[in-house]
Amino acid sequence: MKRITSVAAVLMLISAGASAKLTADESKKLGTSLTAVGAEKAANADGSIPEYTGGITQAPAGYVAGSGSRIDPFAAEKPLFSVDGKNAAQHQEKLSEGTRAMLQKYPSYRLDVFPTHRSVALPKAALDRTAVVARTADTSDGGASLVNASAAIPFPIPHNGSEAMWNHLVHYQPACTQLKFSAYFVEQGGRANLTSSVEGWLQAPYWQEKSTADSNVYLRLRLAYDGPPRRAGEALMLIDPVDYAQKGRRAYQYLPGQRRVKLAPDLAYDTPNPATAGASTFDEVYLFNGAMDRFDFTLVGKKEIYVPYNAYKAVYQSTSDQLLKQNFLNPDQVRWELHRVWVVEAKLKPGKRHIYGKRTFYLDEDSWVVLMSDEYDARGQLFRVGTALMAPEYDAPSPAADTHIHYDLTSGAYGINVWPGAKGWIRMTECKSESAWSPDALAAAGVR
Amino acid sequence: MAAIFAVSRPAAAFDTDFGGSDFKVRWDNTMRANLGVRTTAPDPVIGANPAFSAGEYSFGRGGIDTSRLDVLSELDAQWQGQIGARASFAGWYDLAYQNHAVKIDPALAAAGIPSGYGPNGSGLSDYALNRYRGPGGEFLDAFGWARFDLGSVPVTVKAGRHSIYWGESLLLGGAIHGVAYSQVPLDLIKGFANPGTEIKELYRPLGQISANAQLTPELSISGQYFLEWQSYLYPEAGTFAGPADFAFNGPYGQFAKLGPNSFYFKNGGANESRKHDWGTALRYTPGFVDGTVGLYYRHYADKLAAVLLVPNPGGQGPMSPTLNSPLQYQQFYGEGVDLAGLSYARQIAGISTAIEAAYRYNTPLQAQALGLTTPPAAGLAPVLFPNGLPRLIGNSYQARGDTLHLVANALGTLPPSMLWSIATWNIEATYSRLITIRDNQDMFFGMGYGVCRSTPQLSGAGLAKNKNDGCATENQAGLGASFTPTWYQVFSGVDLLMPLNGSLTYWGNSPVTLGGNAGSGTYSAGLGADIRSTLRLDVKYIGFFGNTLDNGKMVTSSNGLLSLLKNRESVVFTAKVTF
Repeated sequence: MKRITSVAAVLMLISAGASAKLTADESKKLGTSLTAVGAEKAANADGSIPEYTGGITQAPAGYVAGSGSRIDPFAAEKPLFSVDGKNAAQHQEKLSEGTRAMLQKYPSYRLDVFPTHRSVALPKAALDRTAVVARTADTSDGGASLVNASAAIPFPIPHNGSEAMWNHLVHYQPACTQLKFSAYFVEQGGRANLTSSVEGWLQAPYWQEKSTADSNVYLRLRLAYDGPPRRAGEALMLIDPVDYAQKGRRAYQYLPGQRRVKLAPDLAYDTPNPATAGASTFDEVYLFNGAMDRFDFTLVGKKEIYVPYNAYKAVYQSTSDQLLKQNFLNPDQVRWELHRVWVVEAKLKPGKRHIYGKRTFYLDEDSWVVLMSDEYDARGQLFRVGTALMAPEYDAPSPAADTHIHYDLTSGAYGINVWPGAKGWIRMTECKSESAWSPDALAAAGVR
Repeated sequence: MAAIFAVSRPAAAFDTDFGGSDFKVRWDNTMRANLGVRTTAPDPVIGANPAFSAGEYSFGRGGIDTSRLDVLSELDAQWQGQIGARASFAGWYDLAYQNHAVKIDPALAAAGIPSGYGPNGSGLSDYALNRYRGPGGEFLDAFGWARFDLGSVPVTVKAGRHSIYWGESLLLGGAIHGVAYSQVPLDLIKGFANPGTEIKELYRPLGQISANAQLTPELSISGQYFLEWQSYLYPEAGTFAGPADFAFNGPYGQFAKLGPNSFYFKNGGANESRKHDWGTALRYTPGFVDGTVGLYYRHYADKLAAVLLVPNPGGQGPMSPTLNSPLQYQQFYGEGVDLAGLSYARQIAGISTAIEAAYRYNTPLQAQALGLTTPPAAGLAPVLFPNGLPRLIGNSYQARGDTLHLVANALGTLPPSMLWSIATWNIEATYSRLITIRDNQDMFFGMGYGVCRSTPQLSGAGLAKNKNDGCATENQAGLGASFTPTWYQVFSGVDLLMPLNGSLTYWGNSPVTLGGNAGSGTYSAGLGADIRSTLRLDVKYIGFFGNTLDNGKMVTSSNGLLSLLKNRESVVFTAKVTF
């Protein structure tokens, strides 16, 4: 009898390796040696990354409730040290490829490294459900679709690259958010051009307890442009399904003047994003979004690297004059910390087309959000460097690294997107009615 | 003093929140400067015909055919996204029409033949001057809107002057053959000056009340009731893109010879419709069809004219007593058309595709330009009108019948490559055919009817026409397309674009006005620069093509009026800025 059990256990392990479901042993780790979402609970060897103690779950004193413009709870801290081109070699192991290249290319590029705070927190319900859902969650169609999962981190212990990326795609966020943000393109000469000024609504049916939406939809985004003047009145809507392999993204564009909505299937993959004057692709919004079918994703392992973290100052306090400097964000405004990240490498599948041949993603262990990306062109040259600014929404609580930057190493120009800055905000709101998410509702909402 | 001048930002544009974000006001202004140079010399064969002379001779080769400044000012105000108002104002001024004398073929002028604007060398009429030279201006949008929930149903209501355009059509061909035909009058002055212009730039809003209710997340219903009617805006006689000297609202009349006698047909103006159009649409986006299905019903009056000859009691005209005007021509707009339509849009292989089908019941059919509604001589009555004299039906003498129209389009992008950063494209095919004729059949300018019959009597009177003169054929099919490769950041802050546009009726003549004539079309090829998302510069080569008939000295007939523009090629420089 005992023998039969152990054979069954072995079989289970094998099948788990292939189908990626969590084993009993792995399950036990969650909430003990690992946090509920699968991060290492303990501090690192030298204590520079502290133990995870649940993150910040309450807004600090001084935060105006509901404002969605978050103050920096660590504003009083001073940097521990700085990394620049001169001392980069000493920190080589703790830098992403992209950061190394930036330091090498720009003598004045600098990382001000602050004490690490594992500030990301998720609501208890999400953590509890992760323990349950993780046993059944799976992918299908070679990783392209997510199955048997909702309202949970599907793969707290990922077995392959696409599982880790699914954790990023469906990372925790409040069910409904309203955003006011800008996008800029900064020319190589340093001139910053406003490319979009947007009010947006984001809904995560994946995380809604009782969603009436199509259960296959995990994210819905509706953006209304009010700037620059030429774009005022434009609007778009994206609907992303968990079953990409079957249905794929639905994107709709409202056309001012016509007061009509057209399907816009091109708002995906490597279509240049006009929000950053083409300095990044559509699937680089949030460093990665959309379908994974053009790449093979490999889980490389974990690393400790410097990433922008608790970057409240850059996300919510800086003005464009303060933040957007020539070639890169003003280093005085950006807080970096040492964090553990999962490294996922994506290689273009044979027969598929994309401007990038290889991409490396660095996923925050506490939130699963991609914080850095290295984008290589078809010849294998590092082409663009993606950076997201983590600034958790402690009032929710929720992780958030919506603001992201893409540096073009060839031209020296860069784009920043989903940046609230001093004038914008990201607020939790009541959810719009289901009727608001139809293409005709998008048309009816148009005035121009 | 210096401090004052240091504030050099344009103060005009503003975007203001009053009292938090409850009350918002936006004011944006777009300025566009156009400079056009004709690249072809006037064609003496086209210009020898007194009906086509002033347009052909409007500008010489190298002449500046437009030097125009357009301003579009848009003001939006809203409170909490629940209630708001919008007004837009367009203004224009064109130096090319400053002191512009109407010229015709020197031989015609020497013979004392007048142009559409009277004696050779006289100026444009007040109407044409206002539309072309300016300074002119008009309000386009002027409406209020409100959004509220009726129970759990979100409702949007708009009242005032605005445009609503249903269906899925993209280009001018789709605007004529789609479910939205005549739903919005189009500005063809702008459309002809700039082939490939998106139709949205051509809309002329009309006073109406419209409403949309999202009944369920999948189903929405819309309705509109018009309070006013307006025709399309036409390219006028004697201007660069004016195809015919008698048309439309600008000229005073048209010189004509009937037998040995010369006349000057008087321009009798437009018979405007006073009817109220209305329509309703259902749009359904269920998961199982993976797309949007639309059903439409509209009741409307035509907004494209049939220009027909009617008697001119008293015979007095603008050139009397030198030339009498026994006949006058007027624009007729048929009323009481019922349109039933269907649309379906879906995504196929990463491409946005759509089809539309429209059935027009009792629609006015294609009529001959300057077609006769009464026999010029008593003996010709049975020859021209074997089925009896045409009657005025719903404000027009046109033949009435049913037509079927199909539109299919697709738009997409070509991915980044060695050749471009991105390339956008669209293509639209149209098809139309006559289903049945219901009334006034002799007025139908279609093969086998009226003057489009080859009877010995018609031929003997020199009145017989065929498909080369524009007589409608059984079927018509046309195609429009555009392709725009874009290169990002060619220079710092500068994107380059190369917009290429073309349209062609490749098969048959349509049974409806402006539905397309075989072999006629437009093209444009340009190069544009988008500077810092603010300033757009363009240079475009623009031309038309089509088929005309001539006797070696003079064009005697053309397949469609558009074909007469086949020699009006030009290069247009445009600068556009929004602030």
